[in-house]
Amino acid sequence: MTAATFALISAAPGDTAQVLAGQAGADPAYLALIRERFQLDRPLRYQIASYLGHAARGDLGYSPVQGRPVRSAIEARLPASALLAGTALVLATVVGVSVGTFAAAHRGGAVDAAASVMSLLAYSLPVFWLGQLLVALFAVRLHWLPAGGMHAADEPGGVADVLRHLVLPAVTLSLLLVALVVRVTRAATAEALGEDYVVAARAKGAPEARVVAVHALPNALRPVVTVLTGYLGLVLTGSVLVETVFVWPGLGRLLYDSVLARDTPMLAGLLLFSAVVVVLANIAADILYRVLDPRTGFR
Amino acid sequence: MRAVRESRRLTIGGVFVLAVAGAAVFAAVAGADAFRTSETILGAPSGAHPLGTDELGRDILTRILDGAATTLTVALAPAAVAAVIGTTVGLAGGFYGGLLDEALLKLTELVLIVPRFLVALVAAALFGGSLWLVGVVLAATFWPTTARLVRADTISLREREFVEASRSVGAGDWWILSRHLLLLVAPIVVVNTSFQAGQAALIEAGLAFLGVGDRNVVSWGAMIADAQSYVGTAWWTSVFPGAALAATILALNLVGDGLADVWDVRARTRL
Repeated sequence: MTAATFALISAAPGDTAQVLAGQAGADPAYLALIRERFQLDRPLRYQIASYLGHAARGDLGYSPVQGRPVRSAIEARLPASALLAGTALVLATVVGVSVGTFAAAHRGGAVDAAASVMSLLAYSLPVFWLGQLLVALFAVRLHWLPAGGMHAADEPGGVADVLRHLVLPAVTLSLLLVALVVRVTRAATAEALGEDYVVAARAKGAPEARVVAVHALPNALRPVVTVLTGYLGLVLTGSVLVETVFVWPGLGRLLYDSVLARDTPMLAGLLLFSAVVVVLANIAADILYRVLDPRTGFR
Repeated sequence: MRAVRESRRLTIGGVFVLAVAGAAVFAAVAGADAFRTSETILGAPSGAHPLGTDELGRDILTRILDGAATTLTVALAPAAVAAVIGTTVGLAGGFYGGLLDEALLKLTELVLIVPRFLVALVAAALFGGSLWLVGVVLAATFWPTTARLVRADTISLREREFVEASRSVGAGDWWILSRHLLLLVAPIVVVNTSFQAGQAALIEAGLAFLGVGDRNVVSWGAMIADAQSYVGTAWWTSVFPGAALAATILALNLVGDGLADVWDVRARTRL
């Protein structure tokens, strides 16, 4: 994948050295100096091999555009992205599981119908449009919440301040996840409610709320874990649009800037990082399955 | 056929998709210039401009009608190409197994690790986001998903009695694949294709919103991006193109959902 990134970028029209020099038509001697300094004059396969060797030791190279090592640039942006993605995930889990369970327990009811319509809408609403409308309504018109950024310009730093800035982007980012979780929870809980052990629980006279919460729900959580961990990589790097609308200083924004600036080391580092996150998320999912279902014990 | 009439989702979605296609044709025939500027800058909806004008005084209704073709092309063409390639590879992989099948599985895993939107974003930013390029990237990342679905169905179908019965009367591989299996996997392909079309429309609009889309055509996503600075004061600059985009994607998803109901295809086709 790293190799593909390099190949793609070097195959593109234009010249990294030119971009670094700032203007097309810069002094040829200066361009040559830049090429030598960043080894852009070496053959592509040498660049790739050298990169992989260093990456294995945790060194992702240097980003000339950011003016700092790639790793430190990622580390600087990671907290903001993790906060946004984490909040969106928690929001999606809490709202999604409760609404999904309720809809399954009262199938055909008003909540069930509303949840079904909402999830269809969530699949279809462009997040950037939704974000823009939320900004227009809650920030520009009503002045309830800030329009973008992570801190207030005049008085930055407070927890309350960050939380105020977090509300709109987190809600926007979590919308699709909520829809997915509701859909999956509803289907799995509805299925579990038809199982023999639920019939048995009802037969011994357990109240309906207990049947749903204690007997059916735990067995419905496995597919929820699959959905959430499956989308973790996407939430972390795929939040490019949301971070752009809300000027959120995270990894998505960094990726977008790097694409525009043709910052090869930064792009390669970010894609590598997102792949690592996806792999870690899969491992986390395996562990969670075992916690949720003791039958698949550790070996 | 009764099931088709009973599926309200399919009817609503289908009618709306046809209406968008009609709008695209109408815009092409009427030939109003979507790029023509006027004195009325950020004009509210009025008789002369039913949906208002944007920051350059361009008529928003004209631009929305013109953008319909962009959205529909980029939604339908890559999904259709992916359906053809994916069905072919999936049928062959599932039916014959072997090296092709192995390669297919590895490729699908790879495609699922890197989000489609990121691939399209990087490609569009580096090579200029012409509709052609976006279409090719989308088709290239859609077909492995289709192939995987078809493969799974083919594997379970190839062992069934009717295949054996067909063989016993002398049918060859080609006959079985084209006359029996193709028809049986068609529903899941069509359902999957309509979901992918919705996703393609969303991705094209996202790229245009980030400013790496095709600048030679009107794109609803680019209209929403242009509205970014004015949406608080001139709501119509963002609300109308956004609503057109959301409604079109919703319609494509409704068609997929409706067809899945009608043909009783399990809803495992998302992703």
